[in-house]
Amino acid sequence: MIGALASLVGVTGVLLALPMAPAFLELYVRRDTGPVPVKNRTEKVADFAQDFRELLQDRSGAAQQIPVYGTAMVLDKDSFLDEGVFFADPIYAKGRLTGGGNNVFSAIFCEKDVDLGKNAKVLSWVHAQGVVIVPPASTVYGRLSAGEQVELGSRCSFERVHAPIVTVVGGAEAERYESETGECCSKIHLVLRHGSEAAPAEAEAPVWNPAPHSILERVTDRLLAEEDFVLQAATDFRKNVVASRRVHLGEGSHAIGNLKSKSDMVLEQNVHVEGCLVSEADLRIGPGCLVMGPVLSDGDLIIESGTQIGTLDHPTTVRAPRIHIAPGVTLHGSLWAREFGRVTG
Amino acid sequence: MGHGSAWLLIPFCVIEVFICTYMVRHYWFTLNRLFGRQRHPLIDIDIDLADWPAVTVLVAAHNEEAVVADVLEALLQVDYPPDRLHIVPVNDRSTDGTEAIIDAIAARNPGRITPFHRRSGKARKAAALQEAMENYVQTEIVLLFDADYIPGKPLIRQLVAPFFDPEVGCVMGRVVPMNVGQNLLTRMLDMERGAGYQIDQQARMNMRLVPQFGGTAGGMRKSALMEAGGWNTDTLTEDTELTYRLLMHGWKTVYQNRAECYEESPVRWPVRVRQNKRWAKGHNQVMLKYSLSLFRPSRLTLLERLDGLLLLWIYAMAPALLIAWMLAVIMFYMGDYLEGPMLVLFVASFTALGNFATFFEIAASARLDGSKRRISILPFNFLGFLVSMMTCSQAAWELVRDAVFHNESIWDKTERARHAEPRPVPVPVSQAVPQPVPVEPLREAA
Repeated sequence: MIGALASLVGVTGVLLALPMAPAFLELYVRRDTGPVPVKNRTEKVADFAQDFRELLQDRSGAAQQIPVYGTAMVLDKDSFLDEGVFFADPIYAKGRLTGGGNNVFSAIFCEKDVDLGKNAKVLSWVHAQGVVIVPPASTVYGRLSAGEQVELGSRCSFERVHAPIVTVVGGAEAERYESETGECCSKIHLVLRHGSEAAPAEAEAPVWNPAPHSILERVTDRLLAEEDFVLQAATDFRKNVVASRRVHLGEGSHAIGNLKSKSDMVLEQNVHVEGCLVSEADLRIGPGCLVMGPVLSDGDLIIESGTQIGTLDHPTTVRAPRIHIAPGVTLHGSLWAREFGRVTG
Repeated sequence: MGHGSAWLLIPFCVIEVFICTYMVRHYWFTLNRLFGRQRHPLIDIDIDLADWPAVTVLVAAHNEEAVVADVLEALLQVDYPPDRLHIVPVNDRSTDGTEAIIDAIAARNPGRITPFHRRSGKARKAAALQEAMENYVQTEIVLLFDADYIPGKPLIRQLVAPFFDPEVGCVMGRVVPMNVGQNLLTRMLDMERGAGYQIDQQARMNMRLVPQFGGTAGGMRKSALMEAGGWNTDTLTEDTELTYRLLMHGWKTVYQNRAECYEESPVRWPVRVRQNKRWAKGHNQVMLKYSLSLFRPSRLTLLERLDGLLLLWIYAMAPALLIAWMLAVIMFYMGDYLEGPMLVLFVASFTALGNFATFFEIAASARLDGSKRRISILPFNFLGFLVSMMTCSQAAWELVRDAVFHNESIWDKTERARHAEPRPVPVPVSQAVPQPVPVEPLREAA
């Protein structure tokens, strides 16, 4: 009788304790007691590519075994690739790399310049220390960065672009590219590098030399607009603005301060904004505008021809889920389309 | 049901309605974090490529000799233009070696650190910060850290970036405990913290609700703070109070889930209990002060008002739950039974789901953090839940008692468990640096 009772108590105790067993086990074995890892570095695109470069330091020859990426194709000299080839392994190019057209790349790191070749696709990322040319109708998924300049051709798609200079070319130059050989890429590249014939702007980009102080410090007054905020054409305005609805800046107006709209934001042509643009809906930047500061939209972002965002000395960030950018636009800094980015025209 | 206890049923049902509301909120937040669209506005600003403003970092320190050197050294190494970053340790009436340690580090880094040694004045962190703001801050952006925090390199830029949005008055980063493996308490607190930030705060960001400023690992615009009336030195939780005052003045608080900063969790139960009581008392003070204000005409959306209200009342739910349990027991022994199918369903659904809502949050946060095995200790968090419920209830009672007897609430500093590594004995600045660079306080121009 006593034995049966003891067994009953024992079994009951075990059944009750069983659900707690993993808890006690973890408490005493201590398999996961470290702090949640905290990122101690930035997410700079250049760093991202640099990691890959460091993995390949002091390596040469073809098809190197490398950690993380498996194998990589290492190209020691200037290289011209065959047309229509799918490169499943990342490419590490020490010289200039020129795609043959219709290539598909996994990833590219180049010590000099890269011309992806027409209708190219990059599946992961591409970084060049010099210039990256993304010809018309090409697609770059993931990160696209360059130490000097990125050129985006017409009808090409992108996600995250980063370079001191990002130019969008199209129109006559794009057609010429499609009809000529690879040398034309260099031609475009050189032209744009010197900036003398940078993509034709429909409206003349304004010249403006900003003071070297952050807009956050220079303008601290704020206007809370209960309705639309409309700045008349050719008007100057100096204040931060938070509008409960739309923000509309008329042609040739000049705003100094950070602007935010809860609804759409529209900049007519030749508007100068010395500050940040934040739209919780769509944002359209008309032709020939100059924006000195981050441009952030929660909807569609449309940037029209001749607009300049940031300068070489004051690079900035453009971010939206969907970005439509016209030929003739110049950006300095980062361009990040969370869903898709497309060059129109 | 007997008529005699109908008066018990009414408060019981009212409390149940509130508890069910919070249950729905917990699930709503958690499911949003797991499956909803995540919103990280302005974290996308390329941190290399902004026109960064000058920033003052205030480090609140009161008897922090064990930890203050670590936070200052970490701040000196952050990835922010050194000429745009000014560090002001606010040494508030310390009686240990904090002052000497701060002075020694300031002397080694001339021009970068301006110590503020506060030797008198009203106790409490808010009072010290108010004085520091008035006398040592001339920049528009001010960041705050407690002395036990260790900011990582990108943190300052991540916290400053949201201020490019002209609606943002305050920014809060994510606090991550670093002494997780010390004992059961630290492990439980790590999971609770994870749920609070990874789930609650980020879900509020996703849904444009009311993220809470936590008073450290965050910052504010000076102009917004001044517009809202500066620091309130009478409350125990000046951070929560500031969140609501800024909200009333049309400023938003932004939570940056990726701006992570290590902190030290309490390692002893009495320390944890005191900390929790202080938070509960202070939070309930703010609740009493601002609950009605949320319904005044303003630019707030309906959801912001609702979430703001639920956030204000969160610490009041502990005593409410305790009362509901007592009422249920009393009604049971009085022979009364809940009647009506809806009422039964109401109570049953809460029992089946509501009790697990907070634990669901904790588990979801561990999953989002990629933690694999620590989730096993989740059952122990029920112990932490019970302790919190009792301490919050006690705090609520003390708040009532203090109001009736006009007692002043006491501010308890959280005890540090970190042991300072042996450091060279600090020497006076005049001896350490042959020709010290004069470090003047950055007083505002008249």
